Amino acid sequence: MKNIIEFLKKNIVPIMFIIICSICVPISGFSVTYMINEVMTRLTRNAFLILSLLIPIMAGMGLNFGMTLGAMAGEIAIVLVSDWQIWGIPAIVLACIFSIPISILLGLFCGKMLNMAKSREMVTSYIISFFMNGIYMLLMLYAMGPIIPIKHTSIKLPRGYGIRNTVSMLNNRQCIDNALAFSVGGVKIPVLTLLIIAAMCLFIIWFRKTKLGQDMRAVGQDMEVARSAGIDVEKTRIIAMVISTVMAGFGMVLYVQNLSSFSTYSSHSNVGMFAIAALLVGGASVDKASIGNVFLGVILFHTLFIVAPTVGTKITGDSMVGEYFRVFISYAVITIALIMYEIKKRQQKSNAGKLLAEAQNKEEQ
Amino acid sequence: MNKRRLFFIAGTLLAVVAICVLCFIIGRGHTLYLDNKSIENTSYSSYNAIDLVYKGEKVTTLAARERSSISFTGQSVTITLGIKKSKSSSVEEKTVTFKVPYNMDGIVINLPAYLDGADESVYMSEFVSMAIVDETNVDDEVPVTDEFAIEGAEEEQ
Repeated sequence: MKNIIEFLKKNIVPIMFIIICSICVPISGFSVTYMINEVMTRLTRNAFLILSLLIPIMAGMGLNFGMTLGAMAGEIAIVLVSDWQIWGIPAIVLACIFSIPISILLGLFCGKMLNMAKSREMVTSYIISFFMNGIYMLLMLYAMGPIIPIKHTSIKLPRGYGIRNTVSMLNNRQCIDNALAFSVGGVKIPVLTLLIIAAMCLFIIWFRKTKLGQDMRAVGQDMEVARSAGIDVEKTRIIAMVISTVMAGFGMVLYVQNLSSFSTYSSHSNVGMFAIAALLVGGASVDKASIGNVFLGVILFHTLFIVAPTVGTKITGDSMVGEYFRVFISYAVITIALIMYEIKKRQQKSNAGKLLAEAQNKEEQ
Repeated sequence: MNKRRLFFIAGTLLAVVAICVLCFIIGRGHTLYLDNKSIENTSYSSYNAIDLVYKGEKVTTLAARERSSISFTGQSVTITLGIKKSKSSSVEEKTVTFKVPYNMDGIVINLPAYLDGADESVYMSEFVSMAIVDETNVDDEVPVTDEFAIEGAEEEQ
């Protein structure tokens, strides 16, 4: 009985979502094929971005709200590649390559900042993402055109500089998803995208076993112990941040090729928030996350995203209620996870205190 | 830094640069506009009909004074043409390859001139969009950077 309660306590968020989904899916009336197709599309669109969150958690840096920095790097690269009129898979490869130096710079900056704000990483990375968003907007609104040459009027604002609200990647639409794709019972299987995601999962599994990966885990468990064991804690944390940002940049490129367009001034913020929410829905916490959490999270979170507007319409007659519901859910999940983490941390602290007091009492007796 | 490490870094950088160059070449997108039109003041006059076949699929049949387009990546494109010079003549098939300049997004090819052996400067030209852009109307699209729509709220008040 105690084990069951413990299990329920640990997995309260995914269990809650499974219950909500199992109520909402039948109400929506969507066919099984449609649902699987939609979930598959969203899984391939988001999984890479969410996987980028795992390494900072491993290094004890919590949920990387700074992943939006990587997403910004990916977007800058996409804008450039679109203007150079590179189409298809070469465009995606080129965008990924061009996002790397920008992501590394942003990751280095974020890592250094987070080293100055140890144990306040999440709120710091959240504010850094706002700060960087300002610089990103300055670049997109004023530097693109006069400083960084932008030729095409379909990308440039009519005033002659700055980037339009929406950048289209119509010529690269699902070029990765459609490569090697086949259909099973009406469900499209984007083989190449799945292979890329699988490669990323294998990389994470391999990385955990490397010296650097072990160092990160040690730093994540206890910084002082890791330092006394000879690990350069600051450097390890910066590397974790850089890897996460670079991966987020790649993830954003994959995300945009699936959607074929993106909102220049807001996509990255939304992507970061939904990726973190999805990971938490999958049962991850601030200090522990696995690849399984990523996939479970994407499936549950996006199943709710698919059915929410229709369920909202059927129950209340207004699809906007469903829209509000899913936005509310994503922020609520993050809040609940953060509160639960804090409660757990305090409980652990108080338990440790109790044990210490008991030990002292015994000694005195 | 030891020599082996330096060699590895240099090799990786070179490989990345090579991949970039390859992507720039094979991924460069172009739109080819194929005209079946007469060119004024020359002997190149339109054909009765030209069938366009690209990658084994028929794109269209160009009647006289018509234009069609093909989008492709890379620096050359191969198309099969089914040429019918006049109403009475039979269809003659011809496979042609056009090498296109890197800097041009859209390229216009005048097929009658090309098929009659005209110089490249005669049958090939850069496509210029005829869409009129009003440069003075800069308010055409206002960037939306305020997620919270504070500006809109101020206006409402």
